[in-house]
Amino acid sequence: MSAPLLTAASIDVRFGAVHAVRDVSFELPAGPFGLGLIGESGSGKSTIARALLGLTPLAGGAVAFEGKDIASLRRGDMKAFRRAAQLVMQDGTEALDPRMRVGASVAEGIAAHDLLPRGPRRTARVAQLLEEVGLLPEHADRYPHELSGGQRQRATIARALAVEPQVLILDEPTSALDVTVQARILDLIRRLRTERSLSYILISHNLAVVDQLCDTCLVLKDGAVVEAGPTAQVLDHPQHHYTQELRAAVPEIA
Amino acid sequence: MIAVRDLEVAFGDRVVARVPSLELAGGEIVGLAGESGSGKSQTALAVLGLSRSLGARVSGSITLDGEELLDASEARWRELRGRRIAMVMQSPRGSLNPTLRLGRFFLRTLALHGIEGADAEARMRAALADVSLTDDLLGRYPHQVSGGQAQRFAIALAVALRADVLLCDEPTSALDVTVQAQVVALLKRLREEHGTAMLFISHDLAVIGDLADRVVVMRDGAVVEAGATSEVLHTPGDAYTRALLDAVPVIGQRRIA
Repeated sequence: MSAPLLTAASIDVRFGAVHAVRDVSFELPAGPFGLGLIGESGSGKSTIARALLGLTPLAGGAVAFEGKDIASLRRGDMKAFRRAAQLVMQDGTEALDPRMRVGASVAEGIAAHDLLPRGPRRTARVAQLLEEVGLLPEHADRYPHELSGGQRQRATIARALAVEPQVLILDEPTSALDVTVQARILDLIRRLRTERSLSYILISHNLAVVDQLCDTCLVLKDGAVVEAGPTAQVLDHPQHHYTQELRAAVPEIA
Repeated sequence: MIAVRDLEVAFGDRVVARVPSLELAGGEIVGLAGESGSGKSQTALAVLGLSRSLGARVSGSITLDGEELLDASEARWRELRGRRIAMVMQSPRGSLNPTLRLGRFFLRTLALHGIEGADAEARMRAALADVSLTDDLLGRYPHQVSGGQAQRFAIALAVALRADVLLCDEPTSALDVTVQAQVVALLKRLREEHGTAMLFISHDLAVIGDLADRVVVMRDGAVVEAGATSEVLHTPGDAYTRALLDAVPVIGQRRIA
């Protein structure tokens, strides 16, 4: 295995008296690789996502990108990190500005990182990105409210991919979607993983979603890791009683 | 107990739910499955007599123990709602009053249905015990309880009112999976012990498979398939039902090699 892309080393996050994340450690290798964070409400999984991006101060531990502590990155390196790690949230409506056409939202990162000048080449790149995620070039001219939930989530993914990231942090990317739409978004992530050799952290309360897309996973409860390992092993032979409880609570069509 | 015939709910020219036939017997649990826009919630609202107040046009027939409800007066509906037909919604706190402590809210709701004094108090305590909530919850406000507690509280209200039909609209969709399992177990117990009939609306076929005797699958406002749950889920006759089933992610399938 090559050197890890992203490392969480004993990270701790506190909000006042609340100890939201407790001594969480993991390594995300270079892609293609999926790491799942499984947990219920209050497990700290979304706080970990924010901490990995440097959006939440740590009370202890460190997050490193390609071996460098992100807290000590200089301005240029920080900008490179902001480009390398992209966040995709649960609801596509949050990441897309409702007053902006979808194409402009997708192009925002391209402009911020000076990847392509404004003009026909940028427009063509946006069209290409939209096609890559299964949308049509004409979707660039629509507003977010004119798209379905699944289309909005695809546009959010296109927006994240526009800056050629190395890591995607997917925070409950399909939880707000209908099950048939969810299946198509999961297929999309699976395809991008191979085509772009992507590394991603997939945060979900849905064990089956993590099972489909992640090589390894961590099970979180009350901010701490209770179990970690290869996904198949954790879900087929859960060792911790909480993982067993979670596994047993998943209804399955018998 | 409840019989729906040729129900059609429309907003202007747009038909949002068309249900040729739906029956719910005492103690029976019928699952209503479908995705967004399938018409499942519109069907539930019609059975609660709320469609017209939302501006919809409703035609067909909905009877409760033989009484036609489609043309029932608002006064008659107020007698039936809560008392005979109760609703449990997706957002557990959505049906509670954020400014009232849960105990006051409970007693006030019972009073609206003419249940007061010692009888109300006794019913409240019994119903809470029934859904495994403790009395200390009564002094709290909705924001001071968990989603699972709020959902069990809503179910306790229906129990106290002795509602014999429960309309559950995605009652577990906003809950964590372990909490969902507790609520599903509670609904099963209510049916066993009180013979409560339930129309259980969900996008989650696995939960419906676990709970319902029969299932009705809806898409784009129409019923595409209906039948015994095990039959529909194991040998679906409709292509959409199959697609819906295939889309449910299952642990151990489609792993990354």
